[in-house]
Parts: sequence; structure tokens; C-alpha cells
Amino acid sequence: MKKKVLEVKGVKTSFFTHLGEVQAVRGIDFELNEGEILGIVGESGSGKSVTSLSIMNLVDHPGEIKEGQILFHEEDGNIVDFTSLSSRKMNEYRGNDVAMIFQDPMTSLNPVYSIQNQMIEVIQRHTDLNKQEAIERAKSLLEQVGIPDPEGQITDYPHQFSGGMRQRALIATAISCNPRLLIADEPTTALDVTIQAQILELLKKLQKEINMSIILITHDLGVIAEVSTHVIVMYGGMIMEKGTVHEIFYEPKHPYTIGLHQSIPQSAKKQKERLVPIEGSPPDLLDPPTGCPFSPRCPHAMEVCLEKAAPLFEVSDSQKVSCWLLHEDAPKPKEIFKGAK
Amino acid sequence: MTKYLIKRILTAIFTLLIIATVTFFLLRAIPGGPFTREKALPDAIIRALNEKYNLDKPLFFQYLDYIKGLLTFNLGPSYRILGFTVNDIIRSGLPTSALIGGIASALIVIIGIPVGIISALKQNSPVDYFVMFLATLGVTVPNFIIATLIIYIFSTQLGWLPSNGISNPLGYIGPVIALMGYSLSFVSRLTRSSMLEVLRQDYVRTARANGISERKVIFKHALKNALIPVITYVGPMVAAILTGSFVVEKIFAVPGIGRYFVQGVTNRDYTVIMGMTVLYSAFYIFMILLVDLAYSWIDPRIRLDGGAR
Ligand SMILES: Nc1ncnc2c1ncn2[C@@H]1O[C@H](COP(=O)(O)OP(=O)(O)O)[C@@H](O)[C@H]1O
Ligand SMILES: [Mg+2]
Repeated sequence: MKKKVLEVKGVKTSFFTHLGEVQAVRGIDFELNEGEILGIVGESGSGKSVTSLSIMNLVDHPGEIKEGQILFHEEDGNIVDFTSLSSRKMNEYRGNDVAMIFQDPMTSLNPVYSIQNQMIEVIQRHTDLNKQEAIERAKSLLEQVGIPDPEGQITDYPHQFSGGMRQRALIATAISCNPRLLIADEPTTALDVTIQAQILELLKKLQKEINMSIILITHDLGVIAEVSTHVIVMYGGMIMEKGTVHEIFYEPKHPYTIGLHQSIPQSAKKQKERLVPIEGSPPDLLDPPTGCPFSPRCPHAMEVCLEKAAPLFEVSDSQKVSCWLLHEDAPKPKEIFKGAK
Repeated sequence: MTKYLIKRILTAIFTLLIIATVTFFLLRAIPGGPFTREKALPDAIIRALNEKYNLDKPLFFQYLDYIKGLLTFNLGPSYRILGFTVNDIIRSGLPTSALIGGIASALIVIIGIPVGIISALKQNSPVDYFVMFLATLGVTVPNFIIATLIIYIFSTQLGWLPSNGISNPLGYIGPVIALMGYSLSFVSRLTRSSMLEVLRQDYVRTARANGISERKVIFKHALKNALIPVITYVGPMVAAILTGSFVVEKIFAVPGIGRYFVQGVTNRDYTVIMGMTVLYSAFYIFMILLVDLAYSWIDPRIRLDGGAR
């Protein structure tokens, strides 16, 4: 039995703007075990970033976690609900047990402080190391993430680093206290393709080296295939489908997942295949549809889909699909139930 | 660094010479002269005066004469305030103006920046609304109205402050407040908006995601970045405030230097106008230098020697 790291239970997060309540995350449940790399994929605006910020309890005003629990399982089995912590208590976990890196490395480092300054600030925040020890630790971290000359470069300022190097420095800082969980929100989206691959490799390597779990957020299924063990497909602030990477890629059941597959280039041999975009646009989260958020765009939508969001139907121990087609009375369209795609 | 400073100082001297030159010839291009009166003086007297002050010599000769004086810090005699040189005028007025201006500048920074920070941190709260209301008043109400109100309320009605002059130390309070009004409001608003802008930045979110305490997020990560535009404003502001204000000094009967800027112009008192212009420009250039030094100290992307690393 694998040890759990995180349980997200019924989390709803909204932004109370002057236009009304933007329901960015509308009730999501999932678990993450030790050693897993969970990919969260979905079109932009589907609530991936808000989900990750909710886990970190970092949702900014006017946003708020309305409902649900974020249960973090500590190494010793102790369970804390992040949503119930004061911000001071939460700060002891952030950067220490759970760390996060963001999409844009160019703007995620403070331009007026050196890399060393920003790294040792975090190290000293969560450990008892003195300054010299913290600097040594920072250097070895930079080495671990592949900065060529940590000794010479640690005192550099962010503007002296390239985008890829900055993301490495940010990763080094994030893992500086050996977190149990690292959340990476589109960590490679802003980078060149070659650098992208290097950063993903690095994350995989670090996952093994310090035995942490990772939540990797992306809109790119290719990235997910590259590194994840498990996948969650999000749409309109809800989970459409989740499963192992094999299940999501070879036995997808949700029409949205299938649509995502058809809308991106597949392997080289299939390059002649036509790409099929998903028609329509994502739901308005100010006034989300009552039923399944994907129903207005879904080629298989039934009456019930418009009225009521589907529960998560269990396809296997690991695969769960929120789609009425999986109800026993529903029709079984060939392209979904023929098995592999 | 030393090389940079020497370069900057040489540039400053050169700039001042250009300013002096342009002012000199512009003034002579304006019709009328220091001895033009509504009731014209007899020709003989004007001739005698012109001769006394070398105004009858060729313009270029006068110009060289002036620059020669300038280089030895001799700004020449006033044409209208008899028996006084421009140096005398500055020596008698500047200390008072600079003292009042110095107190005002210091208070603007000491009060304006914290108020702006608090306002930003309490965005859209009653405190914020109140501060922003006052700040809006401060930038829109002209200083002569503020000055008049201070005199009316605190001197005439309440009798707490003297209404005239600075023989009593309490006399400084009115001029200082009237002088501060606009800039204090401006600095508060600027700090607030700059702070709000910086608090939205990704690196602030990174710091929070790393568990850095809110206090450090604000005072270490946000503030240093937020101060950059504030410093840009405060530098030239100090130059303007230290050299006095005609209106404020007039209303409070402060024997400062502010009035000579205006008097000099209305009187066509060439040397006084020149002196005031050069004095203000010198302050201004010096403050800009300080601002640039502050930039390079705050922001590592800005290198004093100009080249990128
Ligand atoms: N600060 C905010 N105020 C209002 N709405 C927000 C805010 N942040 C995110 N949202 C909304 O939440 C929804 C989900 O956003 P996000 O989680 O960033 O999507 P993504 O899947 O692209 O990461 C979007 O519709 C977005 O408009
Ligand atoms: Mg996002």
C-alpha cells in the first residue's frame, strides 16, 4: 500500500469580482501518493492554476476557497488540513513540505536581489543553518539542478541568467528543504523547446533523487506523456477524467479527453492524420452550465448532460470518468467503447 | 565609481554653462531692461546706469564677463536691489528657504512613504479611502489656499501659530505644511500605486510560495522595487522645495529666496534671474545625480558605467 501525500476533497474556489462570482474550481477530488507524478491537463482557463494555488492556500483576494479540504499527509503519518491553517502556520509548510514553481521564470525571481540572497532566505527560513552553511547548501542545490558554475554564478542577479537557468534556480530554491510535494504550474510553457525537455528531465531526476511527489500542470498532453505517472483532465473547473498515464492515453473514456487527443499532433507515423479542433469555447465561469460543463461542445451530449453533471464513474481502480455515457443505461458510441484509440 | 563621479561632475558643470548661456541670451532678447520704468527715466540717467553696469558694452563682452564671474562663483550685482550682489541675496535668503524646504522634504519622505504603504496594504478599506481622499485634496488644492487656510484657522481664529515671519520657531510650522501639501500627497499616492503594482508581481508570489513571512514579503521583496518610481519623483522635488516658494514665503512673510525668482523676472533684473536659474539648476542636477546613485544601489540591472554586464 502506497503512502498518501495529498488528498483534495470537494474543493471549490471562487473569485468574488465586481461582475459576480467566478467559479474557477467547482468541486474537485483527487489523491496523490508518494513517488507519483500527477499531471493536470486542460485548456487554458479550466482552473488548473487556481487548483494549484488552492493547494498552496495561496489564493489571493478576491478569491477564496469556499468549500472542501486539502489534506496533507506528513512523513510521520500526521494529517493537516491546509484550509484550516492560519497564514503563519501555513508559511511553515510552504517552501518546506510543499513547494511550487511557476510558469514564467523571467518574472518569478526578484530582480533586485541576487540568486544567493533569494535562495538562502528560503533555506534559513526553514532550517537552522547559519549563513555560510546556507550558502554552501545553495551552491550544492544549484549544482544538482545543473547550473554549470554554482561557485561563480550564485552571486549573480536574475537578469544575468537565461530563462532556463532562472527556472533551474527557482527549482533549486523550491527543493531546498526537500519538500514532500512539488507543484509545477506550466514550468516549461515559457521556455524554448530544447530547454523545455531539459527541465522536464530535471524534474524527473529530482523526483527520484529526493523522493518527492510532483503535481505537474500543463495544457500540453505531450509534456504529460513525457513525465507523468497519473493524469487528471480538467475542464470548466471540474475533473472530467482521471487515471494512470496509460489509461488516459490509450483508453480515454471522456469525450473531452478524446477531443484533446484529436486536437494535438500525435506520433510521427500518424502525422498525416487530420487534426480536429474541439468546436466551441470553454464555459463562462461567472454563470457555469448546471450540467456537465463540456455538454455544450460534446458530440455525444444527451439531455441528462445538460441538466446534471455526471458523477465520477469508476472504470478501473485508478480510472474515473465524469460522463453520463458510462452510466449503464446510456448508449455506447463506438469510438469511445471500441477500446484503444 | 570615482571615475564615474568625476565624469558626472564635469557634465554637470558643462550643463550649467549651457543653461547660463541660453538664459543670458534669452533675457536680452526680451524687450525692456532693468531700468525700464512706467515713467521713463531721463536718458542721461539710463546712460549712466548702463555704463556703470557695463550694459553699454557689446553683448558678447557682457556674456564673457558674466561667465568669468560665474566660474569664480561671483554672480554679479543686482541691478535693482541697490548695494546687494546676487551672492548677498542668496546668502541671506537661501538658508531660511533651505531649512524650511529641508524640513518639508524630510517630512514628505518620512510620512508619505509609510502612508502610501499602509494605504496599499489596506486597499479599499476606510483607511485607504480616507488617505486617498486627503491625497487627492492635497494635489488639487493650490498651496496658496492651504497657506491662507492655515493662517486663518491657526493664527487668526485659534491663535496657536504666529501669522507673520519666523522669529518664533512656531512660525516654521505653517510654511512647512503649506510647502508639503502637494508633494506629500503625490508621494503617498505614488507609493501606494507602485506598491500595489509590485505586490502583483510574480516574484512576490514566489516569495509567498516559499513560506517567506508576510512582513518580509512586504518590506524586503516588495518595498525595494516599489521605491524606484518614488525616488525618481523625490529627487527633483527636493531641488524645487529647497529653493523656496514665492507664494508660501510671501503669504507667511518668510525672508527666503523664493520671491527673487519672481521679483527678478518682473524687474528684468538680469543678474538675479541668472543667479536664481543657475542656483536651481545646480540643485536639480545634483539631485538627479543622487537619484542615479540611488538607482544603481537599488537595482542591479542599472550600471553606473553605462555598459551592461
Ligand atoms: N484573480 C482572479 N480574479 C478573477 N478570476 C480569476 C482570477 N484568477 C483566475 N480567475 C479565473 O479562474 C478561471 C481559471 O483560471 P486558471 O486556474 O488560471 O486557469 P488555467 O487552467 O489556465 O490555469 C479562469 O476563468 C480565470 O478567469
Ligand atoms: Mg494556468
